[in-house]
Amino acid sequence: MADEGFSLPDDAFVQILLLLPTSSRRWLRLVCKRWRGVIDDRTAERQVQTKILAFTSVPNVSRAHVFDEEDGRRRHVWAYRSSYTKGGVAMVCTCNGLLCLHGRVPCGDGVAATSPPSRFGYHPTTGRYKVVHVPCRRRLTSSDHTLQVFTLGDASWREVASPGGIVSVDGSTYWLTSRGDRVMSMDLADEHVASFSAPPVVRRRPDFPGNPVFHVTNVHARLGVAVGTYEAVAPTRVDVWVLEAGGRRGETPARWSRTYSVAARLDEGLWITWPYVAHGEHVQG
Amino acid sequence: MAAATDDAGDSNEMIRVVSSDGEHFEMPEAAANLSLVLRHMIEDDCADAAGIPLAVVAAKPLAKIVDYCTKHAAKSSGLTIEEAEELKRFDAEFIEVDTDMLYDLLVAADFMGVEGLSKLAVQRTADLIKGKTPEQNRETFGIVNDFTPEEEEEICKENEWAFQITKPPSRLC
Repeated sequence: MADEGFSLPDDAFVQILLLLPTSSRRWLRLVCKRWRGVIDDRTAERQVQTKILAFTSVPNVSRAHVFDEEDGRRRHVWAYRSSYTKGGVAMVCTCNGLLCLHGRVPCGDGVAATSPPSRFGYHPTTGRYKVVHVPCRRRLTSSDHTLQVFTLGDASWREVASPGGIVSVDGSTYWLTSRGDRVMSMDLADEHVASFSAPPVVRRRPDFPGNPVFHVTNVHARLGVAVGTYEAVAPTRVDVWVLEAGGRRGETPARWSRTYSVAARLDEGLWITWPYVAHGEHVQG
Repeated sequence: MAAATDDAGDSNEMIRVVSSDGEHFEMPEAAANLSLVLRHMIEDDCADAAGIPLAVVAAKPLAKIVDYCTKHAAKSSGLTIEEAEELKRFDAEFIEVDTDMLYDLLVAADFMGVEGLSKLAVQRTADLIKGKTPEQNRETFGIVNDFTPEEEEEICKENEWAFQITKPPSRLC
């Protein structure tokens, strides 16, 4: 071993690398050509194992806890302090082991406000991370939306002309128009913005009982639209539709299928939270 | 793990193994059963007085592995909290080895299919790598930098965002 250095078989080396944080692995690409090769080929960001993360917030300080999936014990804790006395730090989302956080700034009598939701995405071929931010306005019209885009490593945000939520799946970021009839998409490589039709139930809102609201989500690396029905006394349900084919850049018509349905009879004032599809076929509310 | 000792009959039996450089070692059958390879050999009645030959494992790492398996087999089931803590301390001390031995253990544990030891050695290696600059990692693991300055600069550029998040004390970038 002394002559060739620590030349472990690739499989063992990959196991070791996967235990390290994404940002450390980026550093390790500088060690030598072999390390760079193994990191690029075998530990691509999207191959990162899913871990259980809990994010807790109290005024002034928030903590991210990462749990070991094997024995469920807490393994790492990071603390984020707010730079404002009554402010806070909230988690926007995660992407390949990186956390996207935003600071909530206190205003007036100390009520946290500003900084609407953003999403964070990774493009596999360019290897770049971009944070896409949809500025929130009280009244949304279908035409005058502007997206703000931040590329990791850049000095500032850029504006890209182009509402539901926003999600990044397979190199594109998606969100719904305010009426919920179209899905908007932006390719993270060339920032091409397109739109295609939303799942049928979102489109035909008057036919849908109750008061549906919708939310885009990531279902096993495919775009999903969760449609929630909330009624005061009737069962509450959430359906998740998954984009089977088409859509994206609008070349072919979108084909959707309803993959999950969750219904519950809940007391007034309770509702099912938006699903996060993370572990196997389990949907977490 | 404890169940395996029951199928193979007398769990007090000693199993002999022979290192690649011809040294003989003995361990209780329950210990040998922690190695997938040895367990299969025992089940196939290949364990005899001459000992099971391990062609790629030298005496030094094999002595450590016999130690590890003997300790873990003795405490494999129904652990009290104190015993579990003690086993953890044993592991922590056990894996405090130089990189040559760590390398040998990684390869040997993988070859012999000793899962617990593989994990321990993989975690230890990850801990050694973590928080070090590329240069420090080269020193630790005896690696020669085969990048040209231009290539280094190129990688620095690609990684700029990661380096902003975690800046190790390095002259690079």
